[in-house]
Amino acid sequence: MSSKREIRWGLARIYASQNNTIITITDITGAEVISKASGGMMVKADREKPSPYAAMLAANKAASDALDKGLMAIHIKVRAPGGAGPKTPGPGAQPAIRSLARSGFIIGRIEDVTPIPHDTIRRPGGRRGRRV
Amino acid sequence: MIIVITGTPGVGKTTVSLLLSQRLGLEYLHVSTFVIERKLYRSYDELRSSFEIDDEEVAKELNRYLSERKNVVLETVYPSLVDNADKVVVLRKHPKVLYDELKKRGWNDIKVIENVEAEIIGYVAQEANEWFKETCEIDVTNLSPEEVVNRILGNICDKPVDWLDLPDVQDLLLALDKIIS
Ligand SMILES: Nc1ncnc2c1ncn2[C@@H]1O[C@H](COP(=O)(O)OP(=O)(O)O)[C@@H](O)[C@H]1O
Ligand SMILES: [Mg+2]
Repeated sequence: MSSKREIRWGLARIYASQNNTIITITDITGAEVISKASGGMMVKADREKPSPYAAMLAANKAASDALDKGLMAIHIKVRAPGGAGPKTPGPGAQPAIRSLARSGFIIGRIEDVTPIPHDTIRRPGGRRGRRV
Repeated sequence: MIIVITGTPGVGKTTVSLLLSQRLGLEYLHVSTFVIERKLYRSYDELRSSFEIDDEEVAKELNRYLSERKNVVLETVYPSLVDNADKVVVLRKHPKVLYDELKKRGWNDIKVIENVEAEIIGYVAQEANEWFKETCEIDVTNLSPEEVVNRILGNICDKPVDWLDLPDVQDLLLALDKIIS
């Protein structure tokens, strides 16, 4: 009875820098790594590492490995600095989200949890500085 | 001459900016202190021991101040607060070394981890690169403060670092996420 089958939820984390994109999929507690891939693993040339294409390949790889291991649904947390403009946010973030969404998983929450560096002052969350 | 020294907290901005300002005879300005002295904040975040700012408000005051001074070495975590600079230096530090540095300050886990993760994904470097035409990135991990100052004066910059590509940094990232999630 498929309607009673328990859905196995996991957590996909996307980290997108200007130079690379990493996707890790863990169980819901974060304790067990189910799959992991990076843009750097998927392409040979350094200049291709930050490309949307490399990020897409990495997300596909992480997703299919996790699906193979029986994971069925994921929440997504994205860490990708950057504001407006062609290079931003981390160029791999959007393609990675899209690939995960199309991979066959049930998708739960998608959250932007980009960490904001701070000392004695801090820019509020959700704001990415001055973008004129 | 306005020199901006930027980077994640703990990379060495204060140390380097003070040395550099002495060497060049320029005023030293700490943007966070500037903000707090002038009460240019909105509220206080207890969890992070940090005053919340509005970028536009701070930028207005800061750039007005800078236009009157013109000879300043300033340090900030947010390079886009500054409208005009003659030189922009982004200091980078290996995330594990940075983690130890911030732990030593007695900061709580949230504050340490948000900053280390920000360094790993290059938050400040990316902001500097988007905002300014030219930046000079220096990996200070294996340098002394004097060496960093000499590099700045000689305009000897590193190729942008990619911490995210290092397997030990990827492991660190997972470990950090586990602590704060
Ligand atoms: N090459 C270096 N440049 C700057 N600081 C360094 C360097 N090597 C080690 N340090 C140490 O790193 C710490 C950085 O602190 P600080 O200058 O306050 O950083 P920030 O102002 O970026 O928060 C200091 O303890 C400093 O002595
Ligand atoms: Mg400082």
